[in-house]
Amino acid sequence: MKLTISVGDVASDIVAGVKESEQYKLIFHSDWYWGHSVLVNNESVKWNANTVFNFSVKPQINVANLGDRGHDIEMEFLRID
Amino acid sequence: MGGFSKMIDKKIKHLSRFEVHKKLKKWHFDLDSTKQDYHIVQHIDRPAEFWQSGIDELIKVDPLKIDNEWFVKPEKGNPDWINREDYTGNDKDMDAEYELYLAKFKSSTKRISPEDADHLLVKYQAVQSLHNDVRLAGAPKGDNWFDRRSISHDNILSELLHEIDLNDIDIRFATQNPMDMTYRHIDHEHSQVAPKTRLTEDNPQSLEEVFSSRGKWVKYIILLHDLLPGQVLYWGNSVVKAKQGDMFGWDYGVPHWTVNFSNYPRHVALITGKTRS
Repeated sequence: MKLTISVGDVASDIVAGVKESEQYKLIFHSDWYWGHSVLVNNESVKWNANTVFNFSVKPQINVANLGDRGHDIEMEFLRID
Repeated sequence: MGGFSKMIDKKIKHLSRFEVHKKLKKWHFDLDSTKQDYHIVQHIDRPAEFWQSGIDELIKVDPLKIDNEWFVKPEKGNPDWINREDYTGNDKDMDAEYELYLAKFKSSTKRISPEDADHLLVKYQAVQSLHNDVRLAGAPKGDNWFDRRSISHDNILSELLHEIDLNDIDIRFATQNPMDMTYRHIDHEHSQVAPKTRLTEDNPQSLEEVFSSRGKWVKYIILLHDLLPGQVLYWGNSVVKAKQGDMFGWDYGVPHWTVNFSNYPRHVALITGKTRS
């Protein structure tokens, strides 16, 4: 699942509907910028393009982009079967 | 004025405060910096009952009405009216807004010289730069970021004023409701809370000074409760880690933004004032 979080977007538990699995990956395709906020299991994370987070349990992910139009958050969430 | 100041002079009506601060290097603007971009000024040690009673009294107070028309993104003509490449936009709308501001000022003072009008324009544009950032982000109409409240002296939280070592203190309370957010912005502490009053007292001598610290003016935030999971405050490159009763501050020009992903309102006190030393 590829996601583009544009300025003004705020959403909680964005992967709640993803099917259960034994492994997941969260991959960022853009750099962190001032105004970005991503919480993974209630911990604020920072990233660069190609940063990968691995999970054995489906995480809760909250996202907000409060920066500017030139800096979307590009991310991808994968279920590994 | 140098070349950059001339550039600001020409375009200031349309400039983003964030971009101006970035160009003037009013903060480190280093994405890789690991410096903590806020600091705990002091801890106000009161029992949990004090804070809870204060919050209980606070939420009974009606939120302040704010003039947030500048959040509105004009729909007529050019809906995408601020071009992020050079931040130029619709002169007609910007000029009309300035004329309205000037008319309000004239009606309050009756007489105004052309020199004063020029000075007012510069100061107005400093405030306008913040509005431009909000417009640039496309914030929706009526988005007020958080509820603002002021309190009377019989509210238990007014005791906080005796704990803070500042002159000319102004205290407001901010309640950010679930899924509300504050867009990234940079404060000009010297024009916080009562900008029109303070603008008439403020006399920057250059455009660069318009975007510079006035030194003694500071802004602090006091947490009225521990932050709950999902209540996020970003100050520059740092996520604020603080607890109930902590009062934190920051260097001039640090961009900040907040969001409340939790199911509970987040209450803080917003303090502005002048340092004594």
